[in-house]
Amino acid sequence: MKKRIFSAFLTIALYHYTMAQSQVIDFNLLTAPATPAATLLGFATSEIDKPRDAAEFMASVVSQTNGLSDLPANYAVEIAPAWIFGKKKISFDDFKSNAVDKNIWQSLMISAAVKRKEASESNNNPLTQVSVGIKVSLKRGDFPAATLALIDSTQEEINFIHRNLNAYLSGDLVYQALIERALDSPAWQDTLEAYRNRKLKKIELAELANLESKIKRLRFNRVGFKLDLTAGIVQDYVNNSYDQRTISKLGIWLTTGWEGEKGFSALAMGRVLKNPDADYKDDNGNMQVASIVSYDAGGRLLWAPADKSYSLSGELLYRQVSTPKKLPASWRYTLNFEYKLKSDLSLNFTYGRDFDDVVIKEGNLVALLSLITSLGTSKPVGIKANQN
Amino acid sequence: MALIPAPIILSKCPVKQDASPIILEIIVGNAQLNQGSFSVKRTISSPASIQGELRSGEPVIIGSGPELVGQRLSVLVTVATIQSVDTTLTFKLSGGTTNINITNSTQANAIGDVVVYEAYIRFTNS
Repeated sequence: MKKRIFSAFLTIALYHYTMAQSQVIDFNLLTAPATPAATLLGFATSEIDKPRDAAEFMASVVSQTNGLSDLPANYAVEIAPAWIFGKKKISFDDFKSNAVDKNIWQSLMISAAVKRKEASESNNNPLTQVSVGIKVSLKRGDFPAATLALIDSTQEEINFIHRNLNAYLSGDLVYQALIERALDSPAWQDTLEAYRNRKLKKIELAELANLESKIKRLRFNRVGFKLDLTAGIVQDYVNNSYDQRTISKLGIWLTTGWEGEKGFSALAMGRVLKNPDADYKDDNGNMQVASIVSYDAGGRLLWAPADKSYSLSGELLYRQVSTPKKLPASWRYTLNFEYKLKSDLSLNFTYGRDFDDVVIKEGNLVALLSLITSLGTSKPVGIKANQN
Repeated sequence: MALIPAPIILSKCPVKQDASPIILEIIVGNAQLNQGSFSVKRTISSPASIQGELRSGEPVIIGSGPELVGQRLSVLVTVATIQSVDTTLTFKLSGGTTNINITNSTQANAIGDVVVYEAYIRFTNS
């Protein structure tokens, strides 16, 4: 039976392998980019500067702008203002909250990028491209019940340690007398702190180990209704002149969805993308280059149980493209299967139909077929899979 | 896993002679879990005239100026590092002749450490 399934699968796969054209397709078309400004200008994720605090951010800007005297040549940066400039004011309750004002501030990511191109054979004029983008969660979901229970339990440990510490410090009359002296004379502060630090080192509470163990188990993933807005825009300055500026790319993504605790999630997306140098076929079948605007809408269902190594998803995407030649609306649908072998190695397979009716078949197929033959046996997989 | 001491806040708070309330507030930043408490005592061995718990961002009235003169406010805040090793405590005391607003930051050694913040304020006549 297993051999028959394998043969049928192999036949279908080989048929489509010979029929389908070689192509590169982003599987996860529904996902908005994390850093729209950098993505629109073609920066790789590793090239994006991500300062963690205000000092790092300033150092990065000063270094890239030649001491704030010039525009950087090739630079992409992403900052989370709340966590760079305002983290001292973010309480745990603010972090836990799903209120829109808290969500917007804490999730706001601003990205900016600059790219300069010198005049060349393919590019008659020097060009400076500047892009900015934002990503924000209007609704980010809530912590799962298990996480809330672990937070409560962790808080109880903290309360217990706090009560013990309070009794320990307030009951030490020598320490209390030192505090009185230090209030009268700042010269006593060093003595006070030295005494206190020695006391704290001596404290051995079993609850400290319990607390650490609970903290290490805390994961702040969120479930429930989510709504994200992402937008990015690129402005071109031909001849590096302010007067010769045009908006060359524009992208807006609105993503919403519901994520369940059991690994099931549903996602819907709307997107508008403007691309000035897109290829299209005219009425005579000749390839032309023109500015196009595409309007996409789609949905995705994902089942990825937390305690399993596999996930299954399906997505459907509708596209209407505005070009000099009127094109009918088109559809794309795919099914994706992923099996995690290790944390950094997974097999995945995508099957479906693209906008131009070409069959999509992606992923490490040979490895997947090998895996299917081994399912249900006690033998190790014993294959070398290409990492995608 | 360790208890990390933060610098102790020591100050005097001259109070107004009217019945203006003295308001205490702490803000524990960096989205860290914490527990805070305060007490007001006349001497180190006397019972507390007022005490209670403190929640980040929730102001507490601890009394009026004249009734607090000569007493000492003790504040203890324990901050568990659950997000990062960075912790911050903002300590605010208003209603006296001058407001006290101090922000202290302390870095723990590792996530799971507990940072101990303390503040001691003596109320005096202006």
